[in-house]
Amino acid sequence: MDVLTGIGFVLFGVLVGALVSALPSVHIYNIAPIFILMAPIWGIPSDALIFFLLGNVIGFAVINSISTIYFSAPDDTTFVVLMPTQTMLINGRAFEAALLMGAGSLVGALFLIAISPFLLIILPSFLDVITFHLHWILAFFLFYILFSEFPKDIGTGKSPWQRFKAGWRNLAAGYLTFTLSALFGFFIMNGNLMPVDAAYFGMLPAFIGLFAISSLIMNILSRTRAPPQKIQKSVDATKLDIVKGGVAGFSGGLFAAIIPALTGGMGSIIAGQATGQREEAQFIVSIGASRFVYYVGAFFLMFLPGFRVVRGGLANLAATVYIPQRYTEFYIAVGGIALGSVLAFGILLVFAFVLSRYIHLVSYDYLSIAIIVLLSIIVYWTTGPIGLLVMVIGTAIGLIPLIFGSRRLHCMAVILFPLILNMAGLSDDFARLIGWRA
Amino acid sequence: MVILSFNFQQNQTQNNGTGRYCPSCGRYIGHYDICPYCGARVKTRVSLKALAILALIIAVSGTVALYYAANVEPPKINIEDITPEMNYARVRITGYAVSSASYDEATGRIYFRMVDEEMTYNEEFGTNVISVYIYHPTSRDLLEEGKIPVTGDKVEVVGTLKVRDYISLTINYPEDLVIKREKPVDVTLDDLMADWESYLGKSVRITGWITRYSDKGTMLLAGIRDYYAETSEELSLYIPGIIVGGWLGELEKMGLGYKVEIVGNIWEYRGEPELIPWNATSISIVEPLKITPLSEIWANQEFYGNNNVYVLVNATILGHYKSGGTEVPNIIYINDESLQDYSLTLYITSYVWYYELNDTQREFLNTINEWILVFGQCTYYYSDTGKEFEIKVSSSTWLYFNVSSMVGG
Repeated sequence: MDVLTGIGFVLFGVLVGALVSALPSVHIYNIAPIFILMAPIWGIPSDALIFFLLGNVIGFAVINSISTIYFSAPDDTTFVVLMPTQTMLINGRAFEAALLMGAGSLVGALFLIAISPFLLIILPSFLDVITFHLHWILAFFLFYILFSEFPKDIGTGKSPWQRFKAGWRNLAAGYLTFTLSALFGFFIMNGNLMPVDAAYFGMLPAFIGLFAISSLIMNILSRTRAPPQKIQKSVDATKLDIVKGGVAGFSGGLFAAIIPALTGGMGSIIAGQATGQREEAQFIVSIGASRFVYYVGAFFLMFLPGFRVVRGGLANLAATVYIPQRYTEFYIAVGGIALGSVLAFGILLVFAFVLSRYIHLVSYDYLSIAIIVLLSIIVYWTTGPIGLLVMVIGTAIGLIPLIFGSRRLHCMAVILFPLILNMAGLSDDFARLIGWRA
Repeated sequence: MVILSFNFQQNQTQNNGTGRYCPSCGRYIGHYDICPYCGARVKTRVSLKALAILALIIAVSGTVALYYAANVEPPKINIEDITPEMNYARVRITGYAVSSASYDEATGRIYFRMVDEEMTYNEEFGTNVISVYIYHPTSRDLLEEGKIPVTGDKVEVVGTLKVRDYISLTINYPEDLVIKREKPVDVTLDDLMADWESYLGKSVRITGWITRYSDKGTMLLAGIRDYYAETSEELSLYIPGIIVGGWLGELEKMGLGYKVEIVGNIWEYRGEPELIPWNATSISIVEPLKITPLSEIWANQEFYGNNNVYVLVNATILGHYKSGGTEVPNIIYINDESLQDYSLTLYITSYVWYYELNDTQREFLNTINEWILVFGQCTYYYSDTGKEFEIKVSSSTWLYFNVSSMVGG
């Protein structure tokens, strides 16, 4: 595989990934299996397909923010940024929000390229140390989700019961969301719910229900239109905001890329708290960086020669076809990330420009309904009727934090809780506790 | 469009008689039905309280329904059915273990490989074998129960598939590994060697003498023959590391010449049959190696010589063979109290004599009337004058300079 061919496939992959990722809530993990199946028919060899998939994930990491900003259809990594970007959309600044997230992606790409040679040296030893401790690292994160709810405002009311109810309503809703999400995830991952030949898509209906459909339902109920958008020529952020957000996002994204079960959004939240993030612009930049480093970084780890690290859904899928082994492939990937991120940023600008010009003409009710129908078709096509049922239950659980004003982060228990149990070897004990096994 | 965290009180439009406030953005909108600021419709709105109740009912009842719906038997598949989309699927596979389980104490991991019972081949992955992994604490539970498969065991496994460039399955619960061992069939070596393919994957009980023994540290390889059988073929015995390591009981001490009874599986290795015991207790010593009087060997030379029987003798050195008037020091004539009038020939191979023995040992063996405890293999030496019976020593450890060195080849 020569350098130009490899880079060519990366850039081609960026183009295809960008086009696909612009569709609301379409995840590259859903589309990539099709590319993998069709690659032999199209005459794409396995070692070239890997670079094509790298391009796909670069395109997705940058362009998919469009779905969150303009269509209010977040995924498990962008739900944390939904509130500020929606506020910006209402104020005609969606283009600026897209620019900020794109800037974050570029900063993330820059840092990822800069540390790539050091990953060869540091990562193997780091993974050797933390592998046996992953379960309690994730458990600590779970505790963080639960206890970072505090302090809360005191409840107001005439009677003690009303004050108690007002004070604990949000918290109770949050903990109920956490409990239901945790059980929900455990039943899906440890049970035999999904059809066997769709097991790979097992969590897809859950995530779509928890994050995308619930948001879209609230869109429909709000019955509003996006106002006309302006095309900003600059962003409301200082250089320090970009750098600080980029650093926080990069740290969180890299942490999430290495630790299983954590997503870029969660990593960014931790990093944001660790770096004392306050500015909204910093937060949006950090999410852009975090998403890029999480998705692209996780896939990129597969290119480390002499060291087999497979993280993330796309890498797991790609590993069934080909695992890169050579240093040349590693450096082609680094070059591909550099050029691909710039190309993806350019495509983001074009999409954001076009959408900003015409989004106010679109009725959100009908758009949201169309997206719900599209997502339902995707879920049914991949997982069948049982997947639709799971999606409905996930939607109901995802609506609880939206209605009661608690944190949507609790929904991440859907994957964290069963994974922690598995890593700690406690799945069996929990299954017995809930009566699944004798 | 705005995603808000609602208080239910905000759901109601506030009407002070002279106009209304938008329930979405809170601005005063007068008598407008659509908010001119945020575009929210005012008149027709869905009650959030109703939505909240509906969401809670569906969420809780749905989760309860999933508890029952997800707790069903996983589907049974063959290896040929596995596709990349089945990654993380929970499936059931019935088949045979083609490798004995190994246990890594550092990681607490048990590993073995298996084929399905129809031996199907997966075209996409180019294999008919999958790897099975069991991690701590499930692996520990299985070890304590002694539920560990060895080669040839029929197994039924339930676990999570991991499909990358290879296929593996992870067993998460101890009850998800079932080893199906039938009552062993008593079989002679003649019957077995005549048609061993028909015993493939079956449990047998077989008795014989150990005629080959090699301790590799992580496994024991041996050969079993029946001196009284018509066949002179040797059945390979493979004792895997999981048994040698003491994880499946304490292995009795044994070695060449021991008569043993073994219950295990017949499997195939490189086109030849192989016997794999289930665990340490399925190997029992019928007759340990004991001293055989030379008179018995003398009287039954044909039997001992034709069957290459291993013997332990306690004899005295009478003299040495002479070739052209020169004594050959490693060919020794021996007898014992039971064989006063005759002697038998003890042949120590040249390699052992010159490279394994030291001067003191050689001097001892050159001393007449010295007593020596010897382990050897009865055989015939074919010379110009015909065949001659001898007891052959192929290792220095077969000569009793240290009692404990006599066992184990």
